[in-house]
Amino acid sequence: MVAAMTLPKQKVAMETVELSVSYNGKPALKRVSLAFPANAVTALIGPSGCGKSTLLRCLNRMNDRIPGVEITGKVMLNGEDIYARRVNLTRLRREVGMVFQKPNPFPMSIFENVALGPRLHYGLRGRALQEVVEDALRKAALWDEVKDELHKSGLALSGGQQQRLCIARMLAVQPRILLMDEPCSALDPISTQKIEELIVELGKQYTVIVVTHNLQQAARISHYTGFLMYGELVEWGETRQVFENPTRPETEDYIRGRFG
Amino acid sequence: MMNAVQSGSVRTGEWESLAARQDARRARKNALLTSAFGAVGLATVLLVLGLVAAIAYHGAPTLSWEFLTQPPREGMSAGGVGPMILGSILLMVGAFLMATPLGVFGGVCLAEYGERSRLMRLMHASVAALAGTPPIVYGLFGLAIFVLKFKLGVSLLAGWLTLTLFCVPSIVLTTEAALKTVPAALIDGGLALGLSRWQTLWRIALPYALPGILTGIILSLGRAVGEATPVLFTASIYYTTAETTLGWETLRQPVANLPYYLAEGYRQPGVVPERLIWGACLTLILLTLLLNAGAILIRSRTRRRYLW
Amino acid sequence: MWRIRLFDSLVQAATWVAGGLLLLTIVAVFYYLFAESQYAFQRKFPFGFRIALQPPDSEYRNEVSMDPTASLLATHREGTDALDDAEDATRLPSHEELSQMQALVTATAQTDDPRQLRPDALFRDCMRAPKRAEQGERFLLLAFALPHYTGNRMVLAWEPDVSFDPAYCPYELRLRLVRAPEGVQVKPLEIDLRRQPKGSLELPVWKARTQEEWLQGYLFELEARPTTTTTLATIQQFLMPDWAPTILYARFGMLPLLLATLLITLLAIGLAMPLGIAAAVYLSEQASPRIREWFKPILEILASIPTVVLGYFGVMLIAPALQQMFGEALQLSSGRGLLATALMMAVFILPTVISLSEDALRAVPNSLREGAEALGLTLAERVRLVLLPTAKSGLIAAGLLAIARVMGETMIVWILSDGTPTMPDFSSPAAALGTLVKPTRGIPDTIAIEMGNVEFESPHYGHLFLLGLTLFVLTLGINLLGFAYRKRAQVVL
Repeated sequence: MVAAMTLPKQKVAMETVELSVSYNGKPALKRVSLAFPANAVTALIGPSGCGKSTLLRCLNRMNDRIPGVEITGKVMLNGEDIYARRVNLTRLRREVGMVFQKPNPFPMSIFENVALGPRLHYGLRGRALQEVVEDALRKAALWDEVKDELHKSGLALSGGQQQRLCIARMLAVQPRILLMDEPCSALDPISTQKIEELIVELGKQYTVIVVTHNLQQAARISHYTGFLMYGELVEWGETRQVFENPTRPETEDYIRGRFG
Repeated sequence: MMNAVQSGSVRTGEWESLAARQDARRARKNALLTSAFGAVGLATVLLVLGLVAAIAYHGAPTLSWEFLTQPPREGMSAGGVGPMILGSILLMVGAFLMATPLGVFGGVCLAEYGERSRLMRLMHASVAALAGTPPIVYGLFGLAIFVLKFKLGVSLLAGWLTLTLFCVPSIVLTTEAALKTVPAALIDGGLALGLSRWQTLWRIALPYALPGILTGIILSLGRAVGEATPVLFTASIYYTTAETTLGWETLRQPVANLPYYLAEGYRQPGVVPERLIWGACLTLILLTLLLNAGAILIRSRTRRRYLW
Repeated sequence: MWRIRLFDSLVQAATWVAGGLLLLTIVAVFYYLFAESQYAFQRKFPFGFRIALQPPDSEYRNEVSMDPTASLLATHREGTDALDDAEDATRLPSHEELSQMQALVTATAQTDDPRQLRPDALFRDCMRAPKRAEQGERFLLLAFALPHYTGNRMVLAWEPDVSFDPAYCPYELRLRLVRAPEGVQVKPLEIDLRRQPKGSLELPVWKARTQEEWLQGYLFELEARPTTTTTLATIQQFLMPDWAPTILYARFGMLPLLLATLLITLLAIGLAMPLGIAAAVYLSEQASPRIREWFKPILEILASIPTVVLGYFGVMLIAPALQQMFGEALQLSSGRGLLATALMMAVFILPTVISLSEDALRAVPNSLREGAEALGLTLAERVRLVLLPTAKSGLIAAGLLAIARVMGETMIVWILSDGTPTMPDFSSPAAALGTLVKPTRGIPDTIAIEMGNVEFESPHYGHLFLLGLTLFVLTLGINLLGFAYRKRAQVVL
């Protein structure tokens, strides 16, 4: 429906080209072409089942593990298709980090949770590793809260802290693109606010792509918004424009709360 | 493309080269380990197939209608294993009839009252422990209580009771597990219709859990029919000339059965020819496989039925 | 309506009855294993020594048991208390007759009162019924030379009866000189036979000139003094390193059986656990759903193969292969033994380990898998660093369950090992290899083998129940631990 829409004067971090996904023959995403601007927050919105999570999970190939999935089209990163034959998944996921709906810290200490990635990917040890962990925790705005209890289990933290731990865990791997799949939907309002502030902050340095079903949230935190419906990209543009002056009636209906 | 973000003491440009150093090693290790896991999986399958094939290869020439129906002749050195098959089936059927109600209702009891009181928690733990108790211990218990204290003697009846005890704990556990998989929505739906708690259980939960329960019963019987130890002291006889009839007196007589035939056949080397032993092995495996096939059939049929 | 209500109450009643019966069963199993074990504590403790008076250069000096003139003082045969003059075979002949046969004589009698000794009612041997540990025993022994003895020295030598080991006797055993002949000067003598079960001591020669003078020879007593109760002695002996219940001086030490069972379990689990977990990882993380569909029934086939058949399979196909490998070096008559048993045990337990481990791995929430994958961990890293540590409780539960199953498995050991009870020996590499490949005997197969020809409600029967109780308590503990770990796995995940 909407051809590849890029915005002028904005560097593109990642781009999907005619991306289609189906599960056991049932289409979930239909020929979506979309460019994600670098160093900005992009929100993907739409009614449930519209394919926004599917799209997000395609960006670091998390859909590969689902049985019966079929993916066609391209996802371009650094000028290469990540669905090309000989792509190194480890490397892809080092560049494209992901946070999930439900906080999922590993059942190990806070330090270990964050240290796991850099240790494996970069072979860091000792002092260097500690610095990377501290840095990641600082960036995730968690350092001050946990600096004295790094050995405590990650599961002992509150929900919001767990989610920030997951963000720190992702940041420690040094990605450039952050995928967030409804990162606040399992959290209370105060935690949500903290994470939202964090996303805004991260958007200055990273390319952040957030899936959310909360329209206000999308409006608050994102620079760009894509609206999906029935697996198709309906509307795409700067957030203010999408919300205040949508070009298509479906978008308007959705944003005015007529369905979804 | 360089990472835009500075982190710790590692300089911005260094990340790529650090990672490159790890990647090859990690990929190698991953390939090695995953193929090792796969190889072990494959080896397990080959092991099973090899075992079954070897036994079939050695046992198949012996298998004949005569072997399956005739009693042993010429001092066990010829003839068939008819009475042993009959005895094994008799033992299994009796155990099935006695263990099923006890096991299923016991499972219901655990599922319904499982976590309520200390007594029930104790019972749950005890049943779990009994399910892992060695069959030889059941054999001892059966000998002490059924054969000697109840004065049943070494008999089919004592064997039934012992096998029942052996089967019940595992049936209880599978029943309880199957009942736990019943979605709470179904139960709530039943209760909302105004059914009593026991009606809900009987008409909604049990039918839903039935395939799981049946599978559990069949597998436990399969284990019981191949297990020589519980009936070793309680019901077994190597060979008897007494005709196994379906009359009452059979209950008080020991019965020949396949596992014991094999065990004794080993103990008195040279009496039973290898040929017959392989044949009996194959027969016993076929018997348990038949039961297993039943379990698999039930499972696959009901899986289709409940796929909504 | 009333019919429905009746039906309801019937279902409810049946449930309660079943629950009650289950509880009853549990209690009954415990009770009867305990109750039948009581027969073990009715055991008696036989002992026996052979004592001979010999010339210093006797050819039997080092083997008193072989000396035809030695006296046997023993409590070993049930019903021998009634034995008296009837057993003429051991009655000493008259003085004249004896003088032509031998020069040095030991003599004894049924009585333990020196005043009741009569010269015409002396015997070579004395055998009495074994006693409880609380009851003592006392034997008298006369030692003297006959007139034609020419030596100027004589030696009293003693030795435990063949197959009697004083360590398996709870008494304090002492050989004491009660009275020396008139005119002979000897120091008081008392020998602790438990410390010095075999030995000899020199005595001044004293000759009896007539049959009446026999009674004035050296008078010794062999005293067995109670030191403990039968219950304690039974338990203490149960932990000894030798199991030989059918010999005259029965030994009921179950240590070799327990160690063999533990060793087999250790080897089998050590083999099956890593393989099982690897296969489970393959199944739950790598295999496609289709492969999994095929794999499960195949595992169930393996699980359903009766252990008797597995045992045979081992005898016919594994043992010969092992014999070819080690047979010449260790002079094995067959490849049957501990290693063959452990190998087959591993095969036996493998399906259980795989399916329980797979359950444990599948209980790990998918969110953790995705989290680890999104972090860029390779499959091997995800398994090693995230999945296995998370599933730890479940895996431990699986291992414990497998241990309990292997420990109690009877037929495989029976068929594939079938040796005599021996203590494992790891003192040297050769001994260790021998321990591993040679036949041995575990707890469950010992019960199965010996229960077939034991007298019901005898101490041996009781000891078999005691073995069963040991096995039950061990597996019960392991099972309960496994149950706790499974509960914990459910709580954590």
